[in-house]
Amino acid sequence: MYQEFKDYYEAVIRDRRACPRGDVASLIANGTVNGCPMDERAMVSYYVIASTAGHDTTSATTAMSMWVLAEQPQLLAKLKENPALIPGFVEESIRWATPVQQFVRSAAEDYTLRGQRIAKGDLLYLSYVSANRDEEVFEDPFEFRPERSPNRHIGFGYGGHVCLGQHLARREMRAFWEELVPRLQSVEMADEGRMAESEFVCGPKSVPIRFRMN
Amino acid sequence: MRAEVRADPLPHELTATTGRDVKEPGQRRWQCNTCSDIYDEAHGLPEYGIGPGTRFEDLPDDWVCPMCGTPKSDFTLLDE
Repeated sequence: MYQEFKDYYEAVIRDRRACPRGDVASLIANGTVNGCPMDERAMVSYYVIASTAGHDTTSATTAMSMWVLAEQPQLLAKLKENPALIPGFVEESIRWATPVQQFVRSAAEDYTLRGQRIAKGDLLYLSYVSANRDEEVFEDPFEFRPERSPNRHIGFGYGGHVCLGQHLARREMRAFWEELVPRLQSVEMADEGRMAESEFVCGPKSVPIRFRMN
Repeated sequence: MRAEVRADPLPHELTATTGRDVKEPGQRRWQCNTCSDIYDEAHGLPEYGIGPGTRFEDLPDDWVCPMCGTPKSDFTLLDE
């Protein structure tokens, strides 16, 4: 599979090196680390991360949103009545789906967190799934509420490595639902939904629905 | 009939300008240097208890970008 990505992106790299423009592909193709160009595998890996992270996550979140709508008909009625809730619906969908379930990070310095000593260099499993259901942060965390404000989920991560595409992801999903909600008359589950089996990027494998559209 | 999709610009579409569009304090926008999110003084952040018209300078010193946690010192003034 790596070879397929490499074959595809080598042409992109050549093009963006010859004619850089204001896009992420040009930044990667001309990027350096410690003053040196990235090696082939690092560069191709950046493209793979950027392309997959920008697709799986929003599609998983959108599928999860549809699953919620299919199980909560009153929610669709609420959105149709008040489309201004759609940005909040998207934000809550990101919290609810948390498509990137975890990252492992290494501690940059010694730290004590709630009595637990963490030494510099320790590897930490940061569970975004758990954080986004934290009852100390979210009232009734197991309820889907588009009205949450602020919605302090960390579905895009936090800090210097926060998701590069977070604004685009929100925009994509808002545009999708702002187009679809006025036309979607009803949606219900036609069978049982199934989740993918992954402990990293995850989401629904199948959301069988029955729906009516204008 | 299609729904109207909001056409407000994405953060990266907002660029700092010089010598034009000078905004008064309370009307300016500040951009996070990490995630490009915008603090718009005119809107404030009511969901975080920061009212419309709150100047960037009047945000608490320990205020951080609500999107990524970047400190207040790492924002850039737009519209100057």
